[in-house]
Amino acid sequence: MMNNRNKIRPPFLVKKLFEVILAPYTESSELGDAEERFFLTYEKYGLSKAKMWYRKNFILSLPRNIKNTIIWSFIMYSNYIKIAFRNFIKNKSFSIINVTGLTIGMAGIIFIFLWVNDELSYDNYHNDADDLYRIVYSDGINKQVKTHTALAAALKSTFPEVVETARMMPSAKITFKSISKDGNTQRVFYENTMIIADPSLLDVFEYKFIKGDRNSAFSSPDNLVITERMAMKYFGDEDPIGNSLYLMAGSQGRKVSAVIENPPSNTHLKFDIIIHFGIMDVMGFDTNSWDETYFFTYIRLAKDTDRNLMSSKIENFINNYRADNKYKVILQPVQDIYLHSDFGFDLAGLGDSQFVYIFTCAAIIILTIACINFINLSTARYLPRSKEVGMRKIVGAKKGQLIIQYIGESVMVSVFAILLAIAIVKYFLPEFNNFTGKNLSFNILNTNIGLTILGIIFITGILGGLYPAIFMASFKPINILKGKIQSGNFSGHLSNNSIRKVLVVMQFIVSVVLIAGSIIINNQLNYIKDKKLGFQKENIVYLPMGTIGNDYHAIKQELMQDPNITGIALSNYLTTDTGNEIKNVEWEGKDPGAEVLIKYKDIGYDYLNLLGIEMKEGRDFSREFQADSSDSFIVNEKFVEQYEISDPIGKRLDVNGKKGEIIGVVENVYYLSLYNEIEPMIHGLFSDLTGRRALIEVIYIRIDGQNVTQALDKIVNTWKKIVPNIPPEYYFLDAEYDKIYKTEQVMGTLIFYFTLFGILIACMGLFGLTAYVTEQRLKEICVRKILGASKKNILINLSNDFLKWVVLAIIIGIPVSYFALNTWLENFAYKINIDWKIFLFSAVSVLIIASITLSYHIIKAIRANPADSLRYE
Amino acid sequence: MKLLTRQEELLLVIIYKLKDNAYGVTIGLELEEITEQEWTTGALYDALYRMEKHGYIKSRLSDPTSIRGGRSKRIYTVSQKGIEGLNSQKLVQEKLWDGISELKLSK
Repeated sequence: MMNNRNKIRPPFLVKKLFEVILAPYTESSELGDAEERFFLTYEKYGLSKAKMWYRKNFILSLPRNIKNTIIWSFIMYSNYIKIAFRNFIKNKSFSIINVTGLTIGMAGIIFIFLWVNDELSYDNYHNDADDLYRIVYSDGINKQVKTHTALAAALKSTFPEVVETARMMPSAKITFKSISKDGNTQRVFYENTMIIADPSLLDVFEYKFIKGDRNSAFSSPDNLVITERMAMKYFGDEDPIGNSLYLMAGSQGRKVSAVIENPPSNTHLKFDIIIHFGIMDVMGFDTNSWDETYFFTYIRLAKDTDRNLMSSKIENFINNYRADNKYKVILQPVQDIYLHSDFGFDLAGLGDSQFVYIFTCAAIIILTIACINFINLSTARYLPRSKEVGMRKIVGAKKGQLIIQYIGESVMVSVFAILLAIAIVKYFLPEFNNFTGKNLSFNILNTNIGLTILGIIFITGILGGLYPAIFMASFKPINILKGKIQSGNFSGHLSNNSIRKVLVVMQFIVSVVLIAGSIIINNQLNYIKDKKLGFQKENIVYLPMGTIGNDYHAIKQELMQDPNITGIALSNYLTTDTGNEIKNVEWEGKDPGAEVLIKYKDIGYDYLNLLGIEMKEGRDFSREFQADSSDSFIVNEKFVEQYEISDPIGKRLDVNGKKGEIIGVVENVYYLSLYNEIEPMIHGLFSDLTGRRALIEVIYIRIDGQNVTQALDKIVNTWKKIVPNIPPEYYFLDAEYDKIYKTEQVMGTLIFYFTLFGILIACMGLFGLTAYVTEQRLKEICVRKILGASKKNILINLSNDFLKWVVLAIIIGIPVSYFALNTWLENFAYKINIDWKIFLFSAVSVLIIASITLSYHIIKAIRANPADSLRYE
Repeated sequence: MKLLTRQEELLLVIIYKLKDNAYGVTIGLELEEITEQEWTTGALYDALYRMEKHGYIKSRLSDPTSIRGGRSKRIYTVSQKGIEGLNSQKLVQEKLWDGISELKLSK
């Protein structure tokens, strides 16, 4: 009988199930009874009967056992929630600090996420976006996006894996005019949203048509395709199809043949009007050439085409046409263009992957600080609850249950915080959009956003709660109840204390890095923005000339009589536009084999003077020299330097067949941003207004900075008087430059705010911790006082406890930030030197902030009356 | 006076009779023998827990035994209140049945 006992067992699986269901919430004696009964049945009726009885018993008791389990879990969890809530209320200030810190951190992270997500989403929305590429040429050192003009068509007809190709050319700012069908309404706008492209561009990017279709679009080379918003702007409610837009003085209008959907804001290729590529032929470009590299080439490949193989195929293909081809071909995925372009002649307004990295790091840092805080405060808050843990353990709580309870509490707090954070994000999103110039939306049901929120809850709630939970659950009840882990003894628990110190140190390292980082990043951005551009952009108003032609002279004459207007001049491109690029340039002593592409702008008399650009050598264009209008050129220093022209004045210079000579050299001017290096440039004289075709000319007016309003009124009124049929439009030149640095400005401000966030959260952590520690040490402080310690002694004693860790953080933080920022600055062509004073400043400010944070509770503790806290000892 | 339910009465009497050996298994077996019915776990244990809560019975845990998978028995004894309840129940019973020796249909 006894020998058999090992073999005679209740059915294993059923027994296990039984135990799992019953164990946590029922008397263990019930299980014992069932087992005993099993053996009794076995002895009486045999094994199979016994097993049958056991199974039957299990099934019959199942409903009742499940019901019990549910009831008891409910009671248990509602007790957890009740206790959590009571503790939250009991430690109001702690809870508020904890939740506020988390909320601010989470809101910051959500904002960063929205921004980064948008930056990364550029051009993802195209159909089969993975198959779209832009062709980039690399000569080993420089890369450029301008490709051979014959490339697109040749690729399409040669390679079966090339589905579609299109050439594209962005246009300078230009004036458009629409006339309504009845001829009564004219609308004139100055736009920089035009591109010149092959009709096949519509196939490459598969734009959706609102009016008209792919067949009607560009049925003639004189046609235009415009976006919905342009249709609204120029034609209002009128049907735009068949209506005309005029872009050249006196030219035939171009008919609108189709309206496409507005491209989403997250595309690198922003445009509102597409002009047929045929215009390039009209303008005299060789559009089927293996010599000229002028245009962007976009290409759609068949699915699963190997990108690297295809680029080498294209390269070999070009070699067939040009034995001397020096370019390597890179197929740049369209989705990479916005963030990862660093090429010559590229589009304006592209993003910068650096900021994506910076902000992702910022988000991680903020989340880390918030979590550290959370861990720190939770651990501090749990210590007085050690008796609760002891009691729970004694009445049978398992370690796992306790961990679940405490993690549950921290998840509750983080869910609460994220709800607040979501409300904050919702509330401030319009501000944020306004400020970053984006059009972000915040929808929690969006998969990415939902996952991020769950991720944040997981990291703060579960990971943040894990340490304190495990720490708490590992208490031995006997020690707790004997008072060995006294809640009053902060330094008693060695491992806990050292971890907490590490956390405080880390937090302040981050603060040091943030302060130093934000100062240096902002300094660098300001440096770029304010670096002497070489001309004065303040107090200059510019007006697109539009179709006014020779009326300019009348306007000028009238305006010059006003004392508030100090100068007026013309140029054929806006200063921020690159101008023409001219290949056909010859000069005395030019290396005969050299291929050049030189920027060219026509400027009027007084232009250089008006913008305060200084002559290095020679003279400015002058009315006294008749020849200036036909055969004189001014070049910039870079031109002289790059092509090593000695003694440039008087040297022969031919530009596009116009023969002349160099009469002056101007200093280098940063017309674009400081990201772009200065390039050689030639200026011709802009004097004859009647021969002008394209409406890209701009009138510059320098006004008196003291009387801006009067000056502007005068300009507007004069214009209205002389050209009543065209509404005047004026802009400030410095605003135009500010636009170029908009991203930098926004980034600078954002970095500043995130630094503020980070420091605020770190301080909240320290504040909470001091509150806790001083409260715990209150008795000790009172005893010290009674024994005769001076206030100063106690102050030093308490502050040292914290400040030595802050000092350690500063010592570690300074080299860390120096290294990180130095690496970042390497990316800039023009950069500031890192000043050691910045580190001194951030160290001192961290110390001051930390001391102020500490002092509140320390002073409170010092002032406490010993009698109050020692009364019950 | 509060009367016991039939189920309470049954269990109390059985526990009383079993003296020091009244626990889940013995009570269950006895119950099934007397009533000639199967009793589910719920009907038995939940009734016992309820009666203990009402104070009719008291319980203690025995030492664990190996035949029970190392688990203790919960041994029940009738409390003072239980005895009082049984006594009054018995009184009511006797009053109720007084004068009836054999049951048959009246003519």
